[in-house]
Amino acid sequence: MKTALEPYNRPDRLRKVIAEVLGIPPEDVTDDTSPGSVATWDSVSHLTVIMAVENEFHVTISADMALQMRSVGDLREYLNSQQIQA
Amino acid sequence: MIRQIHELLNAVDEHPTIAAYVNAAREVQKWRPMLRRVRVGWLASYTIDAAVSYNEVEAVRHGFAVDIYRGAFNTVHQELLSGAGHAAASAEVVFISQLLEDVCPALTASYLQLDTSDVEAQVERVVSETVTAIQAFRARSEAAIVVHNFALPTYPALGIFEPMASESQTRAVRDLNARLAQRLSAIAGVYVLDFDRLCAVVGYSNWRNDKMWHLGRAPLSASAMRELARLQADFLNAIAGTPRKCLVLDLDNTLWGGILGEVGVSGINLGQTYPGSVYREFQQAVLQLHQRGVLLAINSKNNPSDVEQVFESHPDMLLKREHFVCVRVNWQSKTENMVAIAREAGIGLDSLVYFDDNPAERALMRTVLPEVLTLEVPSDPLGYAKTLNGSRAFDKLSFTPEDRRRGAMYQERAQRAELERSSASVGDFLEALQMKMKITAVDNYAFPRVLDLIHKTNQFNVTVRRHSAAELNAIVNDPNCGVFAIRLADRFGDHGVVGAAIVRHSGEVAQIDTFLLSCRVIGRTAETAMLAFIVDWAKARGASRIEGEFVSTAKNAPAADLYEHHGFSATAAVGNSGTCWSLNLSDAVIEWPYYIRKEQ
Repeated sequence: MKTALEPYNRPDRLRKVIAEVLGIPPEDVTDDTSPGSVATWDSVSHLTVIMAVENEFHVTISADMALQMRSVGDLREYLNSQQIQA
Repeated sequence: MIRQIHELLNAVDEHPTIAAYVNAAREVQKWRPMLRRVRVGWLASYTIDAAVSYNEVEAVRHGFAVDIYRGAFNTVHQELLSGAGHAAASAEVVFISQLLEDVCPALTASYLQLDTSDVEAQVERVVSETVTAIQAFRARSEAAIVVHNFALPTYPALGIFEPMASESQTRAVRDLNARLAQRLSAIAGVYVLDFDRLCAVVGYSNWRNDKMWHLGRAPLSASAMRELARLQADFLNAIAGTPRKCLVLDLDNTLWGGILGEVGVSGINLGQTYPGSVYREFQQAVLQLHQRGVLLAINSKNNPSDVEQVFESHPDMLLKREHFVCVRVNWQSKTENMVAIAREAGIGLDSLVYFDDNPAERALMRTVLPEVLTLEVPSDPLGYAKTLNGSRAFDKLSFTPEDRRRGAMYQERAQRAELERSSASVGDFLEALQMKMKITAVDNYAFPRVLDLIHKTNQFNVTVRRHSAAELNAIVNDPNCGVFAIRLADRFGDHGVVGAAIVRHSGEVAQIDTFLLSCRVIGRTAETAMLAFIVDWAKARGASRIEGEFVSTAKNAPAADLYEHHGFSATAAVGNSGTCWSLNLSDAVIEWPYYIRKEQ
C-alpha cells in the first residue's frame, strides 16, 4: 500500500507525459519508444516532447541535447543524471 | 456546460502543463457534438503546432469546438492574397500572428544602422503591406480578422538609455503598433490583439523560448501559449458568442467583509485601511465595469432594511443603490432570485455573471442554472478584483456612447416606471413621455452600436440574423439596401440607438432582412414608427409591396405579432419556425404613431 509520503505513481510520470503528448496509451511507452517506433513522434512533436518534459520535471534540456535524444530511455537517463527519478 | 468538460478544464487548470494541454486537446474532441463549432484560420509567421492545442482547449471554456485551419509555415501574405474558397477565406475568425523579426528584421536586428527616414520607411512598409493584404482578404472573406500587434524589444537597442532616446527602437515599435491599429480599425470586422501586452503580462524575458525558436521556429513559451490561447478564446467569444450583460453580486464577504446581520452597519469591513480597503478596491473594479456599460444587480440573503442602511449611511460604500438595476435582498433561494433578476432586467439568464464568496451557493447555481456564468471566487478577498477583471467576462470589441450611458439609462428607466404607475392609461403615459425619434441611414458612428444590437437583441427581433461586421459593412455599401439606425429620446433622457432595420429593395419588393428593437423600448409604438418609415422608403424607391419574415426562436415572442398587427398578410411558412408576411403598398397605410415626434 502506498503511504502519503511516497510520491504518487512517480516512476510513471515520464511515460505519462510521453503518452499524453504523442496520443498513445501509457502502457505502450517503454524506454525503447522512439521517433522510429511511433508515427506521431515527428520532428515537430519532438520539440513538444522536449518542452513537455522540461515543463513536467522543471529541468532545462540544452538544444544540443534535445537534438541528440532519440528515445524515452535517453530522456530517462538524462533525468536520472539530474537526480530526478522519472 | 456538461460536467465532464468542466472536470477536464479543472484538471488542466490544476496542472497546466504542456502535456496536459496536448492531451486535453485530444480529449475535448469527444465533446464536439455538444459544443458550438467555429471555423478558425490561424496564419502565422512562425510554428504554432503546440499552441494550437492550447487554443483548442481554451475555446472549450466558452463552449466552442474550433476547427483550426493552419496556414503553411510563414506564408501569411500568400494565404491572405490567395483565391476565394480557400480554407482561410471560409473561416469565421482568422488570427494573424507575425513577429517583427519575421516581417522586418531591420527594425529588430540592425535598428541602430537605420537613420530617421529609414525607420519611417520600414514602419510604413510593414503597416501598408499588412493593411493591403488584409484589405484584399476582406474583399473575399467575411471572417472576423484578428491581427496580433508586435512585441516591444526584450533588450532594447540602447539599453538603459532607451527611455530617454528621441528615436528609440521602443518608440518605433510603439509607433508601428499605433499606426497599424488606426489603419486596421477603418476596415470593418478587423480587430487588433494586443500581443505586446501579452508579452508584458507573461514577462518580456519569459514569453520567448529561445531554444524552440532556434530549433523549430516555435517562439512561444508554455506560459505565452496559455495566455495567448485565453486571449484568442476571448476574441472568439466576443465575435461568435453571447455577450454577458449583467454582474450579479452577493453582499456579505463579497462587497464588504463580515456578516451584516451579525455585526451591524458600523461593524462591516469596508474602508480605507486593511481589511476594509480590499473590499473597497473590489467595489472600484465593479464600478469600472458599470461605467463600461455592464448592468449590476444584487442577490443576497439579508434583511432588506439593514442593506438599505448600508447604502444610505456607510461612507465607504462606493456602489450606490442607483448603480443597481435590480436588488434582490431576501431569504429566498439565490437561484429563484436569479431568475427574477433576469426577468426584471429584461435579459436572458445566459447574460448573467454571478459573483459570490460562498462555494455552496456557487455550486448550487452551477447545477440549477448552468446558463449563468458563475465565477470561481478565491477564498481570500485580495483575489476578488483580479478574479473579476481577469475573467474578462464582459469584454467585447466596441465601446459605444450607449455603453457609456447605460447606467444612467437604467436610472431613467425607474423614473419612467414611476410615471407609468401614476398615469391613468397607457395612452396618457405615452403622451407624457414626450418621445422623439430620429431614423437615419447607418453611418460610421452608428455602425458599432447597430452591430452590437444585431448581436445582442434576442426579444424584439424578427429574424435574429447575426450579421458579422464584414457582412453588415457589405450591406451598408449595397445601394439596393437601406440600413437604418433608430434613435429615441424622451423627457427623462436619451435612449441613443435603440433599433435597427435592414431593408433590401429589388424590383417590386422591399424585403425586410432585419427589424429589431432594444427591450428597453418595447411597448412604446416605436415599431409602428419604424414600419411607417420603411413604407415611405419603399414607396419612394418604387416598390409595390413589403415582405418580411418572422423566424421564431426561444426568446423572440414579443415580435411575433409585429406584421399581423400592422396589416401584413401571411403568405407562406418558411421551414418549421418561420412565416412570410406581405404588405401591398397600393392600399396599405401605416400611420406614424401619435405619441412620437419625428425628428429629421
